[in-house]
Amino acid sequence: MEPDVQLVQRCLRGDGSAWEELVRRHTRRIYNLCYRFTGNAHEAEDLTQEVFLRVYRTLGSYRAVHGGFTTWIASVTRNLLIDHYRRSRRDRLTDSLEEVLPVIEQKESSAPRPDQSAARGELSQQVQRALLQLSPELREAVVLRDLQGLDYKEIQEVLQVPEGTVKSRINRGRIELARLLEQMGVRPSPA
Amino acid sequence: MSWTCEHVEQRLSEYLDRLLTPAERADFAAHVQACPRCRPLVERLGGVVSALHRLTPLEPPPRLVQRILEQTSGAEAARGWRRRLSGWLLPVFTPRFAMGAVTVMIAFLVLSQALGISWSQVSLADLRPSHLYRAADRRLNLLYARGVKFVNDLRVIQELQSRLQPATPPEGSEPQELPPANKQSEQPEPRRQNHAEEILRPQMMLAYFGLALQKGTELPLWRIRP
Repeated sequence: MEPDVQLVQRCLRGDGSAWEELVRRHTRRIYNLCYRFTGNAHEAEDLTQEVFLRVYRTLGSYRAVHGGFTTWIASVTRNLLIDHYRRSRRDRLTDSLEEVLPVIEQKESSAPRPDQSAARGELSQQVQRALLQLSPELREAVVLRDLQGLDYKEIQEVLQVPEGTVKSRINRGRIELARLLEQMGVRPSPA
Repeated sequence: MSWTCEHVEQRLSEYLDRLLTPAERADFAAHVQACPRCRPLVERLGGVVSALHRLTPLEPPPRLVQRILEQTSGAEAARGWRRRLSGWLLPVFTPRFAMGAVTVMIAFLVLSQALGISWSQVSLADLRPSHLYRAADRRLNLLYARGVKFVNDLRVIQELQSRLQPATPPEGSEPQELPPANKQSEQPEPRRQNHAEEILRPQMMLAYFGLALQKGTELPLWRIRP
């Protein structure tokens, strides 16, 4: 597979097929990042489009020496996600109470459910719901680490914060997530 | 150095991500083994992290890639295509071009008229080069014949005119003595000539048509239609 850096070079020379390849390669990843952060498929779709529009316009500013393309596109996404979060914070604050209520109902109804696959689907929903209750700083750190598989150094590049802050945010995010899941009555077993 | 519960909690993720040095790892494990509070915490957090890792990535909607491409490179390609097309078309939609087009059309019509193509019942055979050549040749011959005929007609008419016209008045009768009288006598002369022409016109026309019929040639294009 051709490395991203070469594809970017080809894009900058006006090769449309290279751009198409880049889009196909990264759409799923960016969509998931947006979905895990917003918890909304529609918003994730719109945000993914916005990310690629911005990447397309600013591709010339990407420098391979500063890190991998995956990290770069993740930081573009992260900036847009934070913008999006700030834009809709007011809406979120008014909605937050309504968001919590179904969670409590879910907790009561979810206890007796022996079916394994249904429980697993439910678990991913519960994890997603718990993720959305994290503060954006902790959420983005956990999503980048545990769902996008970035290492600490890469997350440091994406978030533009010191190494210690990255470590602390990942750790606090995971502990908080465990606490929230515990509140939901969910206790995932280690693999 | 023995670790406290705070130490363990702070380095928990580093432990799970295997970022601790072997020495740190040993100290961490030693505390957790002995601590009834930290042990369940480590287990719980391990469970959460593996649950996160087990989350299956979502498939984006199938149209998403297409929409992204349309918005980015596709939009540019479409813009480029439109620009190229308008680059071709815009100079065409100008008054100058329209004038030129109309002129060419008129020229074409005149030429086709000259070549004897009747557009009311045109057939493919009429457009064959050999046919066009023959038609043009015929037209040319007709034109020449008409020219010859016209000159002949003029000669006949002149002859008729000279026969019907009375003899020109004698010149030089009292030309010097009475200039005003001379003026008066000059005046009726053109009128008389006009009068003669008026009398002659139907006869001239008759002669002309007679000749035309006699020779069996086509009447000219500008003939008077019945």
